[in-house]
Amino acid sequence: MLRSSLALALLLATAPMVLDAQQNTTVQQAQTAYDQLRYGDAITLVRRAIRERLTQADQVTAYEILAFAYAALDSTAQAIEGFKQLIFLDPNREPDVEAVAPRIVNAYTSALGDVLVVRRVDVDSASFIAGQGSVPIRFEVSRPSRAVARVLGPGFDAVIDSFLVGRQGLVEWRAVDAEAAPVPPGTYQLVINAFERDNQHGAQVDIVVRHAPVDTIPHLLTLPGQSELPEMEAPPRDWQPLGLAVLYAGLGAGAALALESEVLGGGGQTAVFSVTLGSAMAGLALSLKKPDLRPVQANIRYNRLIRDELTRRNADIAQQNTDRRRQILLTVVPGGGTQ
Amino acid sequence: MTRTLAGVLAMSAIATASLDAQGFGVRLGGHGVYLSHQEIAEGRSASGLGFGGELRIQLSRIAIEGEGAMVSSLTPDSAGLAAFDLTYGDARLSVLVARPFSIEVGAGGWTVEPAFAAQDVGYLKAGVLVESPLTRLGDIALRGAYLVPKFSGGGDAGFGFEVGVKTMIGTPNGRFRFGGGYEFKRFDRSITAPGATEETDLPIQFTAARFGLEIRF
Repeated sequence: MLRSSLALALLLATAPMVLDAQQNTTVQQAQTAYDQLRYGDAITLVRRAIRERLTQADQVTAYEILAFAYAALDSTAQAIEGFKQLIFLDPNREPDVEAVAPRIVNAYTSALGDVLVVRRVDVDSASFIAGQGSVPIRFEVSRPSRAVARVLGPGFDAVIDSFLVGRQGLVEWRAVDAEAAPVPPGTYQLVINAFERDNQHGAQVDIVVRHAPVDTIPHLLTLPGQSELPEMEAPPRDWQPLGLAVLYAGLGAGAALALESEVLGGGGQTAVFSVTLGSAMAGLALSLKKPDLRPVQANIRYNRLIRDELTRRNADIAQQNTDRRRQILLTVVPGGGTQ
Repeated sequence: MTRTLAGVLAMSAIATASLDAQGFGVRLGGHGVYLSHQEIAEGRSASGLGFGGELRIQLSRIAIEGEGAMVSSLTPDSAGLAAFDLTYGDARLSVLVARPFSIEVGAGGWTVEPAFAAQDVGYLKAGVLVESPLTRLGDIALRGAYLVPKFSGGGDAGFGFEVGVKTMIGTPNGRFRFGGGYEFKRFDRSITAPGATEETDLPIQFTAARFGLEIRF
């Protein structure tokens, strides 16, 4: 009893899922009957609605109610048949495995394994230089089969790939023609057909191709991660000028004193000592003066290498920009239309 | 004598301009001079202030240098001696042997006016010049030379020697420099009087100190 109640609650929880914007009154009545757990009435109403002229959306809703109602009544074979019709109508529509009862999911899975459909066709947006890139297109098939991808557009019709697919497939479209020239801008249809013995199913998605000039690369002002080093540096304070001045002037004064005649005395001593003192003061002043900047040869060589490398890279960039001005940037985006 | 010195300076200027056009290094300087002259015995000395000029021509490892100075009145330090004028000149040729050492040869001397107020001296010399830069802003030079003199009053000098120091500082490009230096000379002159058997010592000391400005062309 408890198990039945739980299953019922799960079935009720799935009801909103099938409440799409339906127009047909009978389908609406069937939905109401399903919501009120009158599964027999819901099945009868759906069968009546199917005989009427329904929109695709109403058909999807009708078969979904039908499949869910049969599943609720444990009529698995009928539920599977209902799901097969639903899958053919909308291969991407599937029950939420986290919200519905496992018996419904199992019925859907069984139905999916019995039919061959192409589903979940997904085109990534991509921008690339014509001839140097591609746009990836992903899809799924419900059964192992051979997939053939074909693109049709303004003045263009080409099979771009054909291969065996187990479940998930990937196609890369380079958006160039047989002469490797970029396809003209416009809206294209990508058709993926799956073949398995006598079974065949196809899915189509619109793709929009736009043309744009290729951006040029800006020239480099510096190398990334490398900066120039200072080519001049302030040396430590140097007392050599004072030392030299004291040495030379001291030697001169000492020699002058030593050579002085004992008979004549030191007549020019004042001049000698004045010059000696002046020389020492000059040496002191030059030692105290802030030292001149001196070149750092290692840094100069390093900077020269960086500048040479920068020049080489900018030459490469200039060459690339010359090529880029002749190229076309293709932007491929999904067009929105899917069948 | 003044006209002679002016002529030397004018010739120096002309030579400077000519050599500069050929890419030689030339320095021209003018300076104030202090001269001190001592002779025979302590107390027989005279000193005075004057002016002078200097020219240096550098060609690779060879430098030619000439300087002159004149003091119009050397005042004696003792009473009873007469004042006199002194004109001094010195010319040198140096060859750089191994930095900072150069060998140097030259000639020079001085004359006094009036005659016989003191000895006129001429000399030849050979010596060593040691010249080092202190920084880009200055340099210092020390020189020593053996002198072979000749005196107007006769006599010989077994010992003649010269010591000099010169320090200059200035602008980083070396165009303008100022500073000073001195040269100290000693001659152990001796003379044998007629009829005498022993030599009489009559030593001479001469100091020339200067302070001035140099311009490099």
